[in-house]
Amino acid sequence: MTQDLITFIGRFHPVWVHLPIGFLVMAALFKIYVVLWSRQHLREAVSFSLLLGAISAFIASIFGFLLSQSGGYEGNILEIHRTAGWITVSLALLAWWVNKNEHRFSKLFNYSVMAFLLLTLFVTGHFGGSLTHGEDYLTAFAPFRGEKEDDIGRILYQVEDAEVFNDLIQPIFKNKCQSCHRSGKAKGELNLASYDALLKGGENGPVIIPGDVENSELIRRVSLPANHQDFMPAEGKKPLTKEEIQIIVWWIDKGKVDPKISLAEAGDDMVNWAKSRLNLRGMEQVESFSIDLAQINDLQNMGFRIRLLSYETGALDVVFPNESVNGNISELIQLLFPIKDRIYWLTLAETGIQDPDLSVIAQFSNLQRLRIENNPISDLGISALKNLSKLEVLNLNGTQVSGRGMGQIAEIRSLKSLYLWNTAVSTQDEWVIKMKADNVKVVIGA
Amino acid sequence: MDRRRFLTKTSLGIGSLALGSLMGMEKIFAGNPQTVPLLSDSAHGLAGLPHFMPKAKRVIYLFQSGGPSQLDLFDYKPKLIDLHGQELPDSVRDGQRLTGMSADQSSFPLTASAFKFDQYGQSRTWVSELMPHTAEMVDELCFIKSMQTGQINHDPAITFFQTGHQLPGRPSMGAWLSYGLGSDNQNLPAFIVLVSKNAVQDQPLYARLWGNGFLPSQYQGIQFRSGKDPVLYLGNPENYDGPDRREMLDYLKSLNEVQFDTYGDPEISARIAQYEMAFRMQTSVPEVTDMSKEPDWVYEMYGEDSRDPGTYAANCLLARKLIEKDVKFVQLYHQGWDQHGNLPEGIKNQCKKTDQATAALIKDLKQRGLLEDTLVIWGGEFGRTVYSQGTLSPDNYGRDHHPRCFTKWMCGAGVKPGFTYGETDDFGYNVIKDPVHVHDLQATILHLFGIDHEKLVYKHQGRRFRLTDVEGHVVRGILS
Repeated sequence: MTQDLITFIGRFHPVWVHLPIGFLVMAALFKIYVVLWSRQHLREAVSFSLLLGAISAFIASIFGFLLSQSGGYEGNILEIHRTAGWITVSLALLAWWVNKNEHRFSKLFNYSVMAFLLLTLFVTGHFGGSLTHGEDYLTAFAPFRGEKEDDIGRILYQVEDAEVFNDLIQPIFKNKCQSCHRSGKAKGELNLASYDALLKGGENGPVIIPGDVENSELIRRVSLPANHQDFMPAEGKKPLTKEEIQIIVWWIDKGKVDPKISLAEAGDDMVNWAKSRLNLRGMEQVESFSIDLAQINDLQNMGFRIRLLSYETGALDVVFPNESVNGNISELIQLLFPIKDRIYWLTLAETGIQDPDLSVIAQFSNLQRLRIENNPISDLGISALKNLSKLEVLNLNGTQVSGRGMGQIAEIRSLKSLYLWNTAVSTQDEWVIKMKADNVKVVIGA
Repeated sequence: MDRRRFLTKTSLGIGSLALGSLMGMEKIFAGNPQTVPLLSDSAHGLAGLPHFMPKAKRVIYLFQSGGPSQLDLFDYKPKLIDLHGQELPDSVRDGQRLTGMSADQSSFPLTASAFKFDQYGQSRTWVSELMPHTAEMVDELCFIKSMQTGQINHDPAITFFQTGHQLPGRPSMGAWLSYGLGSDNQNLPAFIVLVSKNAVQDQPLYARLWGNGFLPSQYQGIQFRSGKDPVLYLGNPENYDGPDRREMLDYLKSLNEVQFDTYGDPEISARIAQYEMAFRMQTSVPEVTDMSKEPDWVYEMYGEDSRDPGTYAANCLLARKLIEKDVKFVQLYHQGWDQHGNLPEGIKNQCKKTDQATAALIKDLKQRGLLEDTLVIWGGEFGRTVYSQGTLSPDNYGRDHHPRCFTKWMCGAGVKPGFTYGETDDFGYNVIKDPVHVHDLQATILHLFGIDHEKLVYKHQGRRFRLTDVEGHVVRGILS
């Protein structure tokens, strides 16, 4: 409850901050007006605006502090923003005092306080903006921006695809070690720019030993107390975080320094920690998915059952239950065309689909599971399915397919399970034997 | 309406409404996921779920209530044959507290199983002669021999398995799943419970085991009756037809909506959803429970019991039919596995009533291709002790409750077939490799449905609750 209240109040910060910005800028403009145009009778307005600015800035800081308690902000930027914020509050108070007692201070002092106040105000505002919108929000579309660096890592579609070394450890090295340990500037003859160079080690021999954390010099160096002479990164550069060390330790110990080992094997905690550091592309797809909602509603009204399979990828599971069949099933399948690449699982069991319909379904390029059992489908129709390069599960139970048609199915390299119960196919058919040899699970009745 | 919601509605509710319209922040509460299922209808799950690609779409949970003896069924301990009759070493028991039923026994004689074990299938899995049909299916099953629970008595242990906590009051696993993922078939409940009528009903089962806890009521499990009519009063009264009922329900709904607008009590929308579901069930239930179209060979496969509605075998068959209609969670309960004494005879009866139908269900789901996206789980709330409760005679013994290790198996969507995970010591008393706690199993089941168990939470009385409480790790070793 308290936590909620803190967050609730804290969230007024982004609204409130515009007040001090307005007041303080207004104060500066009054000041310019008073000085340059000699409007002495408006002197009072300067102090008044400064007072309002100081008070509102103080309140904004309190709100901001509460908001920061809810977490989720990048530590470094938050630090700068917070410090600059409090300096702004202090400078605003100082400026108010100086202006109120103008005769006691030199003009130079008065003007510089004002200038510094504006400077810190803009610094605070800028970093505040970076916190909410992201660091490159302001410059991302600027005409002068350079080529985008690839330091965000390669694009991944799901966390399961991430590799521990390439997607996590390499970026850590890049950020924290490679300013000294890279090709061209290999201090201590250690180069951390590539996997091979890393294995080679430095002037004192290898720095990591697969399966042996204790004797891996790299781990020893980064986990020493920061004031130790051997501590890395040296010269007060930013040390590795606890989690960063943890993932490297895991990779050396459990991962046996395998360059391709998947992040999924490192356990939930690691995966959760790593998520924010990976360049995952799931979210964008969800955005385009939500645009389709009206369309999906229409399809549901036609009798389709549509279910989101994964929020990360926007994949869909589409079922057309046989009790909903009334009318022309071929025309209904055509309606799926606009969302065809989103459909990962499709069930059209007992709907009466026929051979020509399969050439339509064959264009659903992302299909992983297809259930078309108990339909009047023959070898002729299923030949179209060989184009489905991601198909893993195919259910042809109770169809008119025969052993001859299986040659076409065997061409689907991604296939893992094939169901042929109640068909003319037998376990002795040449292609069935061949598919079983290729580790496809072929089920022809129990 | 409860006190909390009343206060929220009257004070904060009105206050924030005024504030919101003043400041143009109508969307101030739009991000709260808990309001979503209240506003939309219950067919849809929560926004943001599933978190990742699922393997499973539905689950059949064959709960063997009472605590089946792992030592007489699946966890083969040949060394006990030599040790038979000797005292359980203190070093093995390690000071564990026993139940009041056997704690004051003067002797704890190690007891080898009275049944023969053999290896089956390509996986060469050991299964006892009590389960000849299940033994045929071992290459489909994934055994977890290292299950552990913290509870030593029936009710807390079952409650723990079903809700993630030993005390009543939390939502059951099926309720969590239907709350999170919604329903795939609007004409049937997403969570259906079937209790065998042909079991020794020595330990009670309570409806709260499939209850919704603090989740809105429409997510609770619906128990079908164990008899010819699984749901009563499906027909309309005389001279009263479908359109009449529709009209009546429409009026009732508009009245309820007036009430909901005034008080905002989620129980009102739950009630509306339940009336609508009952209306749709008037046609969907007779259809799905109609067994007349099942051919004879199906009954032969499930066993003769399956012709008698309400038996375990008939429930297995009904479970398959419900799954075919995309019911998300079907939970069977079969009681009577609590053999404190007279174990050999008792467990033989239990197996006779369940083994064939269990195996038939796996076989049936497999050939229909349904095992691809259906998860089947078999097991009880704890295991049984290696020592005999009561006197150990040459042909008779009993076993007490044992939470430190027991066997469960899963099968189908996303788990390794023909695989055994975890190990117990030679006494069958302690886990020596890869322990799996109840919360770990729950986390794994949610994982198979594409849910991160740490993120499916519901705020209640100021705390965010989840099925796995504050624990649980996905058992990655059993995932295929």
